Amino acid sequence: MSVPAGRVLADRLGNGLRLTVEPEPGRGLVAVALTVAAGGAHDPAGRHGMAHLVEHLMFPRGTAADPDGHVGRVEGAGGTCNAETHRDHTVFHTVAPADALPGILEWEARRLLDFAPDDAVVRTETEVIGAEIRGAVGGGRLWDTAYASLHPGSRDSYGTVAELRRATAAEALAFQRAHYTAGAMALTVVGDADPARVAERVEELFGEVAAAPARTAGQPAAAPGPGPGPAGSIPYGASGTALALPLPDAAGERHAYLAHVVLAELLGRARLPRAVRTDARIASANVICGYYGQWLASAAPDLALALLGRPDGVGTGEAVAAWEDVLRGVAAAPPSDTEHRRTLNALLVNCHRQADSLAARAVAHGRAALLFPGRLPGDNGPGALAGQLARVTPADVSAAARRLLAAPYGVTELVNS
Amino acid sequence: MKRPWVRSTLGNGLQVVVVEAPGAPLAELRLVVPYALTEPREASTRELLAARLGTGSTTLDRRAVADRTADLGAELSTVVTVEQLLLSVSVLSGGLEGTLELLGDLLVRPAYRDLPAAPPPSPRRAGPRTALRRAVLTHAFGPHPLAAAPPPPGPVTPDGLDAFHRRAVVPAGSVLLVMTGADPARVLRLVAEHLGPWAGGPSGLTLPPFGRTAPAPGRLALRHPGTGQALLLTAGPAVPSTGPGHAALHLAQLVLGGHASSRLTRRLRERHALAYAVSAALRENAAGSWLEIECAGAPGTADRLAVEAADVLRELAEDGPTPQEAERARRYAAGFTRFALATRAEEASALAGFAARGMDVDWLPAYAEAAGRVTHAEVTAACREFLHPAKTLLATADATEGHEGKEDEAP
Repeated sequence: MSVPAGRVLADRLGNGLRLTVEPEPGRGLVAVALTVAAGGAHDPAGRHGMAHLVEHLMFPRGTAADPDGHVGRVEGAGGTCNAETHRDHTVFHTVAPADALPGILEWEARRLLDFAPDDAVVRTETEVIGAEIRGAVGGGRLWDTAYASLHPGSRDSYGTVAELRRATAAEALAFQRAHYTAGAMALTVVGDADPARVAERVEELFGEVAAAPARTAGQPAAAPGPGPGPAGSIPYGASGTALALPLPDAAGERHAYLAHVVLAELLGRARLPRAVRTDARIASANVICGYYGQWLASAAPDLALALLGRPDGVGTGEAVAAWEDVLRGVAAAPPSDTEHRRTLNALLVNCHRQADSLAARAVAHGRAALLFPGRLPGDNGPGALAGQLARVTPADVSAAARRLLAAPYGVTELVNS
Repeated sequence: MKRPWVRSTLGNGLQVVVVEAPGAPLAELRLVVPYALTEPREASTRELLAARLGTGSTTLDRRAVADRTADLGAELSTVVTVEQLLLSVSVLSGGLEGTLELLGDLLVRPAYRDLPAAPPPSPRRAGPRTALRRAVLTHAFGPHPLAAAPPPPGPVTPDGLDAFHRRAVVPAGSVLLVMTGADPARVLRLVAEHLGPWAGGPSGLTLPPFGRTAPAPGRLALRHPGTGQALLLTAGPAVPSTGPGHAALHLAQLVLGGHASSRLTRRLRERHALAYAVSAALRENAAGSWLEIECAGAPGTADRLAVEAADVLRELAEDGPTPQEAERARRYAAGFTRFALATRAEEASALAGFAARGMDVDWLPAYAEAAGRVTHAEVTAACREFLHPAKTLLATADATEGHEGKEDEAP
């Protein structure tokens, strides 16, 4: 197989594994991402956090027979690795010197095919997850409470330690065998790598991975109901209101989704600061696009979060009305070409920064291949994003504002703690 | 990656480094200004100036600055550390000249408008992490501005900010690094044109050295009711990154807790599930340098964290690392010098930091080579010299009382 210089290889193995290789010579580094279409939404009933637990168990520790373990091998090759469990997927990412790539690919295949945790490791990793949750509770509580205000019944992807304490190694193995199948995974390599040689080696190493397709999530996020959801409350650094606003489907409605991204940037840059100066109903205002501030990071229902600081004596309804007034301004008249260009410039700077990271590119390719399938090759990776954003017009942004005004939203009260 | 670069000092004392990054869609600018808090009564002014720097000039108000940066495709941000103010700009490559012009305007003709009518409310009681860090620095090195609680916020006037800007935000002693695909000679001309009129300094805003070069060892246990986690923070001896023996100490630090397959991670996380993340890091600034272990566990586990950490320190000090551990650390250190600077933004920040500390811009590749030559025996010797628990201050904060000598945190 030969790939023209600078071109991205996008291929599928006979067992269904998606492979993307983007040559990016000159840095002496490679990034490898293994993306699996199984996340928190796939947790079995009564085992909230099983996807997260399996993510931890995919880093087999050193033993007497294999003293390094997976992390030790990667670090011993001069690399670093980590993983993230999301609502609809889990991604394992590694960055290492380019000469370590053969080993990295071999170890990725080994931990997939030799997955065999024991109950003692399951018990310790469950307690480690408990420590992880304790450390992450501040920011995570806001996002997950807001998400649940829009999608009642949804649960975070961290898990519940009390449920995981009942999990067994056999259950973890069953989950991994059911979900970590070739049809449900994408392997991505970006950096100083030869696509043809990578493809050949991947075929040898990953050809044995079971060929089953991805499974549907057992607990999809509930669709938002009409009107505002019931208000929950959480302790926070200041009094205010968090509005969870639904974003269009990033896979099926990419253009509309990106118009919302541009809208959020436009509101945050100019319109909301102006409202804070002129409208006594809000003391501060910001809007963050994408779950945990990451847009296009998941194909699960996504949201933007509007954070409205309330002056003393101002009620939630008044703050929400002030927010809607700002939104109505955009809905009624598209932003000027100048304001629109300035907004796009800010997003383009962000895009270029992201694209400069080999690891971010590898993860973005994996998500594109696995979570947003069916789009044309070359129009679905991190390199295409700047062009897609540039195609969003002022009229699209105005339409996004109208759509948000008509959409249900969730309300979370922020209580000054 | 070793990039071509040129270095020059303008007539006003500003050091300029231009690093070539052919084809980069963004230019990265980093302005590093000495900005240590040497006088506690200046804390409010220092903080507000850092928040407002770059938001207005005598010719451009906040809105006009925001519009100008957006027109250029530029993103400005400022970060204040304990000893520096770092102004960062990422800009679409076509906007570099306009950005330098804007930067010159903001630095030469600053204007601080619409200041808050009243000082911000006094900060609440320090959280457990802050309280623990202050206690560690005080006990380890003696009284120092780094360890002092800030005074209550005071009123800040536009005149006060202007005066502090003239004193602190000055070219002499500062470094501007530009990483760009543009011709370096042209960039140097543009910098001289737009930042040449900037005048003043040096400010002398640098941290005083600690009273002791090596930390006072011991055990400190803070009780912090209501904290949701038990915290461990240590201070052990170290040598600065330009000092002899640093590379061997760096590898010893990696074996101890500087990567995910370290001794501390294996002991505290994998064996005992006491913590999610545990790290050992070499801290360094103009005040001094020290080796720090940090981790958080469940409430009530502070003593256990301290005992386990001390035991890992003792093991390494007495027995040293295995040859495999030392080799893994050596290879990881070599890789780290590449992947930690994998983006141009990260690289620009790191190189600006080196230049600001008087180090060579190419310090890192040379250091990577030095680390590659460190032997197992040298790492073992560094463990013996620096990791012994008898030379380390072990401090914890927890909601509940442990069995060690303890100290109630002052309200």
